[in-house]
Amino acid sequence: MTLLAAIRPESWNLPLFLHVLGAMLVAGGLLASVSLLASARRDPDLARLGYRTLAIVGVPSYALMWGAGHWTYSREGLDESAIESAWVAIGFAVTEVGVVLLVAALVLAGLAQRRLRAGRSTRLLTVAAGLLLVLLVALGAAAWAMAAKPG
Amino acid sequence: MTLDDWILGFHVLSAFALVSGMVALWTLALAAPGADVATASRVARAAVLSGSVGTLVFGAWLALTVDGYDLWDGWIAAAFVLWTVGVAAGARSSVAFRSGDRARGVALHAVSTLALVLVLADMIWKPGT
Repeated sequence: MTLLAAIRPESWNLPLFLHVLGAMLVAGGLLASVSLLASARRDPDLARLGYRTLAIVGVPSYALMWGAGHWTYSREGLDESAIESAWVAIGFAVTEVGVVLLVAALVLAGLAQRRLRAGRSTRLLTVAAGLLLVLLVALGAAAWAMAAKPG
Repeated sequence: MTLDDWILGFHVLSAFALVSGMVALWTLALAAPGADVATASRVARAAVLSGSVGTLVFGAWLALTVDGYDLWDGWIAAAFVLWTVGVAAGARSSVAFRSGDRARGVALHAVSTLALVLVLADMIWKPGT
């Protein structure tokens, strides 16, 4: 590894800081939500807490990560050119597919906590937790790719 | 890709585990003071523990092997100090929560979180380079 990767214009630092901070907050929100939803099979309060954590921590953090990511990208002057790096492609793919997973999990978790409170099936809860776990692993892979920059 | 690139990837992944565990613990401490969140707490603490060890080990590795970096560079030394403050405050916070002193637990967790956010800023801005 050369020192080149560590040298960047000062003006990139704030958007990069917000991007990384947002991504870490997303990961925290997802980690809390997954573990709460997965352990809430008979407890509607835990399911509600998992859903609210996703809505209050996960979604705004995801917006911060995404927005600051695009800000960083435009500061680097790359937003007008084709994507040439594998690590950038991985980042875009994960965040854009991730939005679909996040929204789907949010809707399912919202429905599931209501169904659980009404004494009905918890299958939706398991599906929501599964989607969030997939998203968490994908974000971890993207974070690794952003740092190690394969290709 | 070089070995150092892999190590940097694991260093950042460890930082993600550490901070995500901290965020999860905030959620559990603030939103569910009376709820049975034992499983979620175990997961969050495991993330914090693995992240703490990983950031330190992989970070020290990078400081020793990457050209142009040294353990005694100001921003790297500052990161070690802040990491120590963050981990120590986090460990004391855990003890305070377990003993039922929630206010002290929250205060120490806030100190730990602030220290780790400062480490992140230090890693991005690298003051003195």
